[in-house]
Amino acid sequence: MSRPVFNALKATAVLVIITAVCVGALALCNMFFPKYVPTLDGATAKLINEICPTGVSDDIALSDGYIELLGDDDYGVKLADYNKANKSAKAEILAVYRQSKGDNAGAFIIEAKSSGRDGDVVVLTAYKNENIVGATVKKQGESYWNKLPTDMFESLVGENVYSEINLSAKFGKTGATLSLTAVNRAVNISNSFAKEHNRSIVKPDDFTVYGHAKESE
Amino acid sequence: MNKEEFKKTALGGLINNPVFVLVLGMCPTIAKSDNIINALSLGLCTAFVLIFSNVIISLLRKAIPDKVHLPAYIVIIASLVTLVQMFVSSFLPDLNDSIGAFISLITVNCIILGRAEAFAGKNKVLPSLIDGVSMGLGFIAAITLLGAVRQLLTIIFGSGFFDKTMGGFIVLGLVMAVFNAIFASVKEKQRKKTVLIEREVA
Repeated sequence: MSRPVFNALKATAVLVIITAVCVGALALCNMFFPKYVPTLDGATAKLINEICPTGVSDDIALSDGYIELLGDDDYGVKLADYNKANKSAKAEILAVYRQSKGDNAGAFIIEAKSSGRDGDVVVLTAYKNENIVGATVKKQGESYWNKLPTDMFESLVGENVYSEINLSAKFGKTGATLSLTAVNRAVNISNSFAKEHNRSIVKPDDFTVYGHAKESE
Repeated sequence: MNKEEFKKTALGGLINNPVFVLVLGMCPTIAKSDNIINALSLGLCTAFVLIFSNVIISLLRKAIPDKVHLPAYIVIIASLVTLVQMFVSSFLPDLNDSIGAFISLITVNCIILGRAEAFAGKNKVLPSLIDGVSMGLGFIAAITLLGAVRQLLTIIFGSGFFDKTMGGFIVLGLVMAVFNAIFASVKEKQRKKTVLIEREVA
């Protein structure tokens, strides 16, 4: 083997080994870092009650089970797998909540995130009868958030789960393009999830008429 | 490593301050020195990466062929940055929201690659560690000082200028000028003192 070929192979091997060691070390460290665990807290219940009213106070909605946090078994898919399969959407589903009773029994709320300009933008989108009934932001740290149209979330109300949301086309230049795109992506992935798992989340057995709570016996 | 070399390396962060003298890492320095917490946090993250990258690169300096030293350095630095990012996003989510984007950018920070190329890749582990600590502390001090001044000016004059990029540029220029003026005067005093001693000896 000639010297230049040997040197080239050696350089490649060293680079591959360094990369493999770094990847291994990061994978090992990743196992010890805590993962995001969605919880239904007071702040989330308040936001849900605003976009999809239960008809009772936030405290009662939370304590009396008007709103519940669903698990992977409830909608028949692992969120981690779903997010992995939809990486191209550049957004992730974080949690799904359902209103079991109250004025909007049968509605469900999807929490999704996408990267904005200065970090993740977490959006809650509420659905009932395959339509968006409300949406709001749960968490954001965007520098130019106040440049976004004030009626951005209101404009989503009435949109169907089958529709592709395009906020940029709707509002044009806002001065907060990255934040607007993050909201758009979060709502669109929520729409896709709602479209695919709508029936399993709502569980027709629980409701005599789709979207209306069965009278308790 | 003799005493003179140790002194030179340990004072590197002051004499060759990465921000005020070498004028490196300007992007995060201006963007995230809008308040003292962000500035200090970003400084600490950068210093961590700088210290550990210096040590690792120094340890591997003989094993890394010259032709691939730059990509190898970048892989090591990027891994350390990913580790910092994972830590901050897991344990300090609020901080991650405010400086998260700039933590990723530490990978391409000129200070880190500059020290790896100029120092750690040519020196033993201990001097590289000292250099990393010195430069890291120099960066922390510079960005925190800038953050403190900008926050103070924002409190006095209200938000909208000194907490924005253009205000950051102006404050950086002024602080840099003051730092270099003080440093030049100290150096001049030392030079005069040395000349006097030499004359007395002669």
